[in-house]
Amino acid sequence: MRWRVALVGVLALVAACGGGGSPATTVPVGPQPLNDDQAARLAQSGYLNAQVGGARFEANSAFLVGEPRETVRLVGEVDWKGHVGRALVWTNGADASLTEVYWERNVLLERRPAMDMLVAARGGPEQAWIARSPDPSIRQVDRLVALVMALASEQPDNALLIQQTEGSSFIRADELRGAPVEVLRYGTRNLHWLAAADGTLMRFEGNSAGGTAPTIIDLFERGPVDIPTPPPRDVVPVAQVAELYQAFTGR
Amino acid sequence: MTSVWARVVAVVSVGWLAAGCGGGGNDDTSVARVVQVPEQVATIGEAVAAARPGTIIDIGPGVYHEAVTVETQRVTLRGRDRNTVILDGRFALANGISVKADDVAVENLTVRHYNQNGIVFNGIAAASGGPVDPSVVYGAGSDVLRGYRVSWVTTHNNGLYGVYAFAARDGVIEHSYASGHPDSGFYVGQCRPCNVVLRYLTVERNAIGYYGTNASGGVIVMSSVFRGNRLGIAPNSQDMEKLAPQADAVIVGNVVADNDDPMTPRIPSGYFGGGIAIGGGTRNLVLRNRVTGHDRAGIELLDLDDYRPEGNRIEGNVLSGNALDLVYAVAGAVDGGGNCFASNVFVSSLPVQVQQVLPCDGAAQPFALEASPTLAEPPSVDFRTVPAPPPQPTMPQDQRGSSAGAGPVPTVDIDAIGVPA
Repeated sequence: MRWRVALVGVLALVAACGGGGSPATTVPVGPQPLNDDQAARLAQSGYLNAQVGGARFEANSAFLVGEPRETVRLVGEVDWKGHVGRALVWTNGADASLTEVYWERNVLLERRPAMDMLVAARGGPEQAWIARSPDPSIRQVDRLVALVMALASEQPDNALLIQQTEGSSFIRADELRGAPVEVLRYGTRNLHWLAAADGTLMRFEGNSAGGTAPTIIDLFERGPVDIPTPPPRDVVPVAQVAELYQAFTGR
Repeated sequence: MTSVWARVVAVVSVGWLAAGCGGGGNDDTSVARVVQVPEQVATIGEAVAAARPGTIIDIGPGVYHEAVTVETQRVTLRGRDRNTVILDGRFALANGISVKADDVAVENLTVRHYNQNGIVFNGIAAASGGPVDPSVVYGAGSDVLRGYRVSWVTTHNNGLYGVYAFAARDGVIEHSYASGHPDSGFYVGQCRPCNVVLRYLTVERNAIGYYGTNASGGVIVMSSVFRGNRLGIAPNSQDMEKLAPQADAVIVGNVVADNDDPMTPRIPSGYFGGGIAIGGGTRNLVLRNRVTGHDRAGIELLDLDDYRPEGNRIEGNVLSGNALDLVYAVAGAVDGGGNCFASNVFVSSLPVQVQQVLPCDGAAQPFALEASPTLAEPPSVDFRTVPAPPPQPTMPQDQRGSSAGAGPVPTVDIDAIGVPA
């Protein structure tokens, strides 16, 4: 819940000050069409992420549909090259018992300590990782994981198409975590905070088409990462504990 | 602009000064001004910035780490040797040559290692003359770049396209080569009419050889070789660009072979192993091509972005060694969509006996729709690591014109183009 307050606070800052970084240093320049260099940097940012390998990240999202409104916070590391990630989880709702996730391209492993004793009682490991298929269409944690992964692309984007996309624009020069950045909008919903020094993506702010899923992802310490894989002996396919899993998650 | 001009003045010859500093009094291009790089001007960028309409920029051998932007019309950039005049972006610069003006030609040089495109004819910049207005339909009407030509150029290992003509009309791309591009070697997009001839090209080891999204009207892809890409030739309709659906291209007399090379960058859609694929394109003519050795399909009509291929004519092609030679496989189609097949030499098709089922000289017959073929894609290859091409033929002296600019689009006698050997 605390992170949600923080997220709302950040969004309020965006609304009030035109910046989520350091309002005192914001240069108040209104949206302008992207020039060639800005569009090229935006086109390149995802590809740069893929090239550097990975990053440490913090991702926050709120889902403003239904009650209770679901919030998700992930703090961890991502390896875009290997399509692997691992993060601590804070969330409410159906996945409130979820504390950590590890993912690869086609599988997501969950740590739910509250299930451990029950899983162990059924002959499972003492600290189980429940393995299931990712489903970003209905699971908000999975959707946020998918967004983190989508910040890297295996080839550059097309700068000309970005330029002619409705809404794409230079928003302002700003400062984030002490570094100069330029804030560029891609389309009507997504803000990319790019380091002025080298164009690397420092923050992504986005929302769903209906405006119901405001999301902020911050990237830190970019470079190759070595993400520890949960021990295979601790991995339990969800089908083996389907009844228990259903009782805990309603899924 | 002033500082660039001042630097140019300091080094150019008296003759060039007289021609270039006239203050706009004389745009007569019957005799081109020739500026030599690096002898008279140190860099291509400086020469281009100071160029006036009618200038030929004659570029000597060397590796130029520049991103060149051409904003003056009726200019030619010409390398003295195709293989030793090299623009190299070192995977740090966006575009090698970015053209934002009408009637510009690029000849006889190599462009490599740019993060976006080797050469881009940027019609939205040319038409807008400033900030891009997303509400304008660039590429149609008068909102378009007019006149462009690429001759005897090698492009390789750039981050999107080798040659990219976007919202541009009246073009020629000829005697040129492209490899190692993760989108396509040659691309014409978002134009109606396009009026462009692509001829005598060699295109290999790209994700796609020729890609023509929403490129409609007067598009001719002829007498070229497309081999070892993941997909050879692909006119198509997509909503990511304006002016959909695509229509009225002619694909004639090409060799399209073995476009199922795994040592290539992947196509984002996952498509792999096709010779000619019309994705939602309409009224295209695919005539007298030789199409061989594809693990998915030789010539395929399929839907894309909810656009269905309609009214395409597939005629006189010679196909062999493909998993399926001719394919019409459109999800949910209840008829042939006005597409027809005639006089092709082939073995296999979907639906079977496609020339009887979808004839060009009679009514379509009922047929059972079958699923489109699929072929698992191999892992992608980083575009930067695709091997560089060997030296390519340099531009013959007698084809190096004395006047600057793109010149007219050549007239093509489609009927005179047969099946290549």
